[in-house]
Amino acid sequence: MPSPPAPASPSDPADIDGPALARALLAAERALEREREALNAINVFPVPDGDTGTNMALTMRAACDAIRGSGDTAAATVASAAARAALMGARGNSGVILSQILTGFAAFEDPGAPLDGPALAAGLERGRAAAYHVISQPREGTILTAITGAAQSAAGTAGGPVEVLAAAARAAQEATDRTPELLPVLKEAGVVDAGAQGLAIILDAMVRSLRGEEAAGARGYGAIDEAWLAATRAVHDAGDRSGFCTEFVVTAGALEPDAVRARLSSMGDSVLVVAGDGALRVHLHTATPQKAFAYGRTLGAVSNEKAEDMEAQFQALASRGGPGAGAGLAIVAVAAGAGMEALFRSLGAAAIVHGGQTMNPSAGDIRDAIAGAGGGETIVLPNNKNIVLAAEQAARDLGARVHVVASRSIPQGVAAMIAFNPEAGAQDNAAAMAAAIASVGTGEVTLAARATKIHGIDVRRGQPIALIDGDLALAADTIAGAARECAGRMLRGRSGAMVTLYYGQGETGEDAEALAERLRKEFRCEAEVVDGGQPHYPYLIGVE
Amino acid sequence: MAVFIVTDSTSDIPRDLVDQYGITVVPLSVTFGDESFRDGVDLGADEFYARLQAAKHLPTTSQPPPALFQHAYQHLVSRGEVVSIHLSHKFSGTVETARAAARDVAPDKITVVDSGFVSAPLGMCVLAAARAAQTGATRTACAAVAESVAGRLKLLVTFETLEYLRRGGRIGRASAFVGGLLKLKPILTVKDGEAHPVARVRSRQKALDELLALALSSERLAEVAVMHSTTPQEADDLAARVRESRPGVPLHVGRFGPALGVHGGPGMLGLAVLESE
Repeated sequence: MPSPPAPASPSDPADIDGPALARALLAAERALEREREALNAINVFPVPDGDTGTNMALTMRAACDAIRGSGDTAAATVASAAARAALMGARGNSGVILSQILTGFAAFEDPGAPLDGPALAAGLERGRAAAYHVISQPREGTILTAITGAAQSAAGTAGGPVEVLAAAARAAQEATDRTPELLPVLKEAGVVDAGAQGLAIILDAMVRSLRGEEAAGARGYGAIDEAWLAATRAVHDAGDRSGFCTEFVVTAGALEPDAVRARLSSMGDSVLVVAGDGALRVHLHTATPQKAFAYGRTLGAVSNEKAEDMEAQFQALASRGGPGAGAGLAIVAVAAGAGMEALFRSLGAAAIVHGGQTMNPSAGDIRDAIAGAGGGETIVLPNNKNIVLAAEQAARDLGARVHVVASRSIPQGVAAMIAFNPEAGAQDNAAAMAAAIASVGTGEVTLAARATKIHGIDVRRGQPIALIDGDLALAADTIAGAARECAGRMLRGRSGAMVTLYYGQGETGEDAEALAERLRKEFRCEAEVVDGGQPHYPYLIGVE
Repeated sequence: MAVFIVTDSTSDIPRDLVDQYGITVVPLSVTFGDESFRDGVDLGADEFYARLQAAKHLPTTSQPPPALFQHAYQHLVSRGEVVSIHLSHKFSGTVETARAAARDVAPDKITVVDSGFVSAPLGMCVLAAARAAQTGATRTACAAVAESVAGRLKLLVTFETLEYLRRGGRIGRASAFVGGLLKLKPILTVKDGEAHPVARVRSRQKALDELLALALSSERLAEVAVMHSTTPQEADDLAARVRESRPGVPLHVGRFGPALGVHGGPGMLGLAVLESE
């Protein structure tokens, strides 16, 4: 555990001005960036999820992009600029909650008043309330526990703002250390909650920055397997496709737009490079957006990356009768894997947001897709429990004409799509889709990210495992064995069920069909095989 | 003055009812390659579906030649007046041909009605008009009865295979709905002469359950028809479920003729429901 920051120092300022707050937030961004892999490694579920650190770091980066070089402005101005940007760039559950904390913090009653101790405590309390507000079923043992501890401790601390923040940071760390007592899955896995730890890191880094202290060194929070995490990332980074509308922003010192333009022209077409405000905004059409992003990173800090499949957008437009025809209801679905994306499109989705487990799209990504889908009203299918909040965030940004049907898995999303009727209204469709979701069970076969023991089941790192409706159900020696047993448990005691096997990257249609045939014979069910091509999950199984 | 009822063969009215009410049925023609048949006259349903499943190219249905209407009308107006009720003009030119023949023969004695439907719902319009005619209703009143029934009808259809819908290419706005990479069982309805999407499910059993639920969602049912193309047992089972759920509501089991059969293929199953006034 890190050593807490030093207690009150006589040199602490009476209030935090804008530049100091900006420096503190930037320090928090650097600290999260440094710790992101360590945070990723302590996700509790033994799936290659590992993205809490990434989501928080990217959300904080989005917030800080808005305040870099903000100059001599008021603290309230800095806070609200950071909060607005965080709302746009929030990724994953932890990122959305972080963006809410920042938003609550920034909602000063009197933006002209100095940010002193009481004002800072009040800001943390507003942040706490905003975080709880966004979660329909709050759970303790998470980042919520950490912000509660921070806000309560701040409220009970008299003194200057740095002293108050230091108390909050200590309390956040203490609350984080308590999370295993509150969430049994954490205790079993022997880790603290990653989101709570992320918040503690942010507050600690801010205090150190305000006091002019050295940043805390990198540290670990539990079992880490960097090689595994790197490998899982490589799987989804390798997914080159043709025809992506690619955009990003590079922030760095000296940038030569002409040289950048020339280099990007060798990678694709429609190259636009615009300089301004110490940053370059870049647009190009390329088959390999990752290469473009990589090049961008050789220039400086890259942000606001976006890569959209133009062919998919074109098809979506064509299926609705061409550009301008889309005044009706559009469906935006989150999916990963060529087969999955094609499946959702074939069922009537107007736009696909690339993403899923370990690559949670931001609320901004979802918002962009909703805008691109061009519907008069839009229904969003997040298709992953970790993307529901980002989708709801995007819906809140856009108002009443966007509805989220909270699909928490791909099979749920497919069931919702099947229930979609283009001739019915948004409310009727949302109700029918939500009902369809409730009728489908989800099995997920994957490889354990780390050795652990959950619900009394011992799991080796890399061992095939299966989750049923989000809970670890079994471990097996082979992927096929895990898939068979998972489907079997979901089907046992049911008659006339319909099973869908979505096989992922690395699996074959022959193996999937053999499994389907076995299930048909053993359980007298109907079974259908779909080439999903999804990463990380050799099999996804839907039973309805 | 006596009112006679005329319709076309796409009304799929069972032979015994045709005879009972003295309805004149003008046949459309069905053409497989070089061979042409008169629907229901020299081509029965069994043979039609057997040929359909063996055919390399889909057969075509064509409206009756004008002369058939002229002969029928001339024969009938010598004894009374005529109400001629047909399938939707969006499916076939039949109703236009009938109107032209009526103008030629006796415009002041013949009323032509576009039911907006095909198959059992069209048949229900025709039978309602025929019953009215038997009780001595005027030509105008019989036509009004047919139009009133047409306004209270719902036809829901599900399919075992989508192959025929796709090959026929005549499913209008439902085409995107029945596409897709999964083997879906869509339920379509016919509204204003066009097929529209209603629901899609993953299995035959669910499709039948959904079909029944949708058809029986109304509290005020006056009549129900269960229609099939090649699965009489399924149709009987579905009819038994209707009877159990709505005892006392008049119920028929019938068979889709070529007009819908060519687009739905084997395994097509439908429910036509008429709401009371």
